[in-house]
Amino acid sequence: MVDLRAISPLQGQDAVEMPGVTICEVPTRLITLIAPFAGQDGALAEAMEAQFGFGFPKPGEVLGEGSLQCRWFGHRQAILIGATEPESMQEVAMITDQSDGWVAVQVCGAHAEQVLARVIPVDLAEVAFPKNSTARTVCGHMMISVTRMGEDRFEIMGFRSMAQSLVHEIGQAAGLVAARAGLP
Amino acid sequence: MRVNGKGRIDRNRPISFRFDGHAHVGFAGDTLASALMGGGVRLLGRSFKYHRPRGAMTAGSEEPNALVTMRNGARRDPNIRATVQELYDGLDAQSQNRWPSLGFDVLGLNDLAAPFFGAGFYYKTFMWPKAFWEKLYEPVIRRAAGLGALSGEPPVEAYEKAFAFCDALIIGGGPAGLMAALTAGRSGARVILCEEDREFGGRLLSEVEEIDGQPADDWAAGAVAELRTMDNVRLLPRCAVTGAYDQGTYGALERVAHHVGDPKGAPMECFWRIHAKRAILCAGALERHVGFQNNDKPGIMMAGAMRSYLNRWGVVPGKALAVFGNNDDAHRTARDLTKAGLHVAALIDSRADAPNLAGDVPYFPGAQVSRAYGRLGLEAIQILRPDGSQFRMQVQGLAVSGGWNPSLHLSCHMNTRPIWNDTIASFVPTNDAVPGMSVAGAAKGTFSTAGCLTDGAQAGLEALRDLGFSVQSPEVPEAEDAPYRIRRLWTVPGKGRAWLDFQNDVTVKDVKQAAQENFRSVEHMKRYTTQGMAPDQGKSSNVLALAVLADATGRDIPDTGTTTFRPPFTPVSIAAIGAGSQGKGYAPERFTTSHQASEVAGAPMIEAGLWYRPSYVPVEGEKTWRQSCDREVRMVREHVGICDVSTLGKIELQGPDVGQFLDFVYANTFSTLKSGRVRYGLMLREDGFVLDDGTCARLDVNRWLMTTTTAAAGQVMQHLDWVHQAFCSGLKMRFASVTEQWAQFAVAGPESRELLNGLLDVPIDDAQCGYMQCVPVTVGGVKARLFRISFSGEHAYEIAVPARFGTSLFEELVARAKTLGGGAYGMEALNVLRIEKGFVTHAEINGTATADDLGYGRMVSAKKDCIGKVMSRRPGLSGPERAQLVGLRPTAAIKEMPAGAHLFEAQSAATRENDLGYVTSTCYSPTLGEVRALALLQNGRARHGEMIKLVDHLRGVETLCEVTDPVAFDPEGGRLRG
Repeated sequence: MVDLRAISPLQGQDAVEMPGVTICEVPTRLITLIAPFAGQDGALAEAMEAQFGFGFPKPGEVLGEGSLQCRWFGHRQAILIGATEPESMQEVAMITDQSDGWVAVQVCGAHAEQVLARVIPVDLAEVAFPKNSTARTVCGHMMISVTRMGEDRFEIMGFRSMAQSLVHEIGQAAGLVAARAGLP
Repeated sequence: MRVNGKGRIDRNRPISFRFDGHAHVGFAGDTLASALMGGGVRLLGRSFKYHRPRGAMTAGSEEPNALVTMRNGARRDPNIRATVQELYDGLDAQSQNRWPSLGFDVLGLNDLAAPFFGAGFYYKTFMWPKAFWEKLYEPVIRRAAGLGALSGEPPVEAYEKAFAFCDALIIGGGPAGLMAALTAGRSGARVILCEEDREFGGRLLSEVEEIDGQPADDWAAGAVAELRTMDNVRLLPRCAVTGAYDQGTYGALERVAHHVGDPKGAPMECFWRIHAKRAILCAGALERHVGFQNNDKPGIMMAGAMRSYLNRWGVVPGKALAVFGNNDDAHRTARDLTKAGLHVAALIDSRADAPNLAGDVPYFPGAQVSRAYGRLGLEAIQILRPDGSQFRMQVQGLAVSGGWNPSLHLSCHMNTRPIWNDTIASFVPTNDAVPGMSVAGAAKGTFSTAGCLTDGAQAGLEALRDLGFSVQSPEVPEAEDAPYRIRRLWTVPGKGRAWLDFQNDVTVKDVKQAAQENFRSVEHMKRYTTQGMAPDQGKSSNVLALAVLADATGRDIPDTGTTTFRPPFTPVSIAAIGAGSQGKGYAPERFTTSHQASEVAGAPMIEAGLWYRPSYVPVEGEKTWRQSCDREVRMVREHVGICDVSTLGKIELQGPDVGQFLDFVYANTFSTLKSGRVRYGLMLREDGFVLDDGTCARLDVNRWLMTTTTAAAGQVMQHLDWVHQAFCSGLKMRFASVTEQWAQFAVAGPESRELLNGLLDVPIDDAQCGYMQCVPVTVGGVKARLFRISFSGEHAYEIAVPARFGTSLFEELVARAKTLGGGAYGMEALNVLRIEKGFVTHAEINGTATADDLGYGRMVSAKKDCIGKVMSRRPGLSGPERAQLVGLRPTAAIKEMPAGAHLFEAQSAATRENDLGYVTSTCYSPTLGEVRALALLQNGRARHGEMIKLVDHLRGVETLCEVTDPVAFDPEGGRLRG
């Protein structure tokens, strides 16, 4: 029997370390896309409440804590992170595995917000985008999902195939932000 | 020359720099213009058209004359205003638009020929012979005219773009802006304060006056210090707001590293896109000139600018100075100069009844300056007394004030015109010119410091209250509150040329001539004379030129109207706007999981959309792509080949109503498809033309998987979203892209099943996985999907695994294929294989082809409705007059039938009128041993077996070929099913 090796989108590439910001890959997790069928939004929210203790997230919302989370992921779509596919909900919603479809990178550090302000055109300031806020937007030319994980910690999810470009894009911005510090 | 005891410069920090190769010394805090003036240099540039000697006319970003080129080589940066450029150690600047030197410029001869070069000169003169324009006149004129030039090399410096958000954006950091920022900041609102200067304070840095009993610049420093303590306030110095756009978006250019010699990796500039709920325009005002003969001599400058040079930088343009104005503000210049111990030779005020506010200076009320003298700099002025007598006076510097124009430019960016205010003889912005933006201070026509402070506070208050903040009315400090008295004076009568637009060398005479030649509309005058164009956008010349036009046409200024101001307020380099979009930043790269393996194998990559796919995978000894491609085709036809097809769009659909949805989006029927089966589908656009094709598999009762072409994956997803939301939102089904989730590989060739059965945990046979079937399988315990589909015409499969296993599976598949005499194949071979089989791609689905054109007319089901069906039935979208898909084969031993070649009747001339179609795809078929092509040919289906002429005008190919069925190989499809 063959033994297929599992490789993450960034293939364990080293974190990009810059003064004030670090960009590193988030290890592969279980990610399931959930999208309720027409008229089933309420039923899905109830089923989720019963199974996970939280309902279906509103736009821009993250529910749950720690290793089990549900993030809004677009119009009447959410991703469940950290739980196996809830097959029981297939009657009311589309449920599909997306664990391999996305690269997730963590951008953290004192400059994280400044760096992301170079590549993401949404307001990521803490007053407008506090912890557990999430948005679908772009990073450079790439469609992404961005979530604030903590005071100076963000998670960016992009297409797996664009993993290198995503890190390059954020890395370039981080380099310029860091170089500004050296100016008189 | 330097003035002792004056200026905010740091005299303990001398800075050495070069201008046109000569060494100079300035001080920290100087601009290039102030440092040169301190060193006695008045001549800074040559004018655009006549190459007239010019010096600094202003002390800010509105400067039309003192444009220089900074740095050398690839770092060369032209048209930088010396009045804005901060001095740094080792700065190296060159003057522009002169040869061989600034002092002696050969093209200065243009100035002598000026009578011939008036407005409209080019339009009238270079009309004949016609051919000379492009070949002779234009190149010569372009060489003679113009400003600085770029290096022509790729930029070596970094540029940046950034996004910012705030409740209140305050544009300009003078007294009004600072007061607005303090008011807004104290309320806790998010505030951004942009100031184009390196320091906040605006005119307060240039004037001798007090606010709340302390020097005005100290008050400004105190205000900035308070703002710095507020976390909710972001201060952006060196940042000019350049444009007002829809929905509260503002563009701003930050000069990040222009003030240092070596940016050390920092961006030179940053282009900000600021989204503000409210904006307050506090951009101040710009002083305007008065038209008199030779009013462009270096040493003549705006009165406010001369005060700035004196009070902020401690420099003046010469020993003997004069001041000429039509308003009280000009008197301040004379006052400050004389208080500084400088020799003020005359204060000339065109108003006969104006009292002298400057103290002990020779005062000439009711007089005017009628002419300036000097070659490379001002040497003397001629003063016209009220009685008509004239006399000459030796001066090296003349400060002129024709009044102040509010900097209302941004208020025009949404196409609102300003209105004329006769009291201040200038245009002022209308209320709500830009939604969400208010105007305060001098930008609104309030010129006293006290008025600006009050105005700023009030504007801050109103904006924040509007947003629902509770704001305290701030205490407005006490300040100068002198009235601004002005009486119109546009030009001084007399002979010779009086300059209006210094940037474009437009004179009073030019504007009058435009009016005379019936270019009486302000828009026509602008275009005929070029007044108000180029980098300064008429900042200092617009009102003056309008006034002259109004006078020439016998109208008043409000009737004459005004041209508008467009973004940007100050020039923005393309490098800053496009920051990040060069090199790898231009477009993301999409890599398959097999990318590295293909690169290691030496495969050249081609771009398919954003994806990178191997073109061919060479083996040792192969020297051309054709050798590799031919081998790969034979490999698939005879053994087995592996190709990464993950780039094809994969859309998973779930729910009990998917079949109904698919019936609606596909032309053919899908609801009847059984679980475990795959069907080829054709999708139409709403207009009836073919959108895309692909297969769709029913994985189980409620789970389907659609594939799209690589190129149209996004488009199809968008199309499905539209159909779902617009027509089918009530269906119990949802779908999502799973393209990235799965790595999918084609395993094609007669030995494909043998290969797979060595790999799958449980082998398969025809009964379990026949042609157009799909089954779940496992590979090394990993859940996978197996589809028996073929784009090569061979017995073939596509196997999909979660992407994390893609790399490993690809290596395994290729290794096993090699043991069977096969291997990996690339896009070239894939293309040959499908052309041999007559399968279409977007070369044939070209956006103008219908289902009938492609031979798929019968796929548009008669039993149901679908998107595009009605429109596809329109007359002219099917039938013999249409270009239909055919195959082409050569009639002689020829090497190519190029794609893009056009088709004609054998006996017709190869002209547009006789065009019958064109070649869409072509290849050398190693299987058939000849060139083969697909084409769209008029009435093609009825012409199989006929001869047709193929002509490629570009490549010079002409040949006869035979029209055939599109399917050239294995027309019965036995190999597919076998």
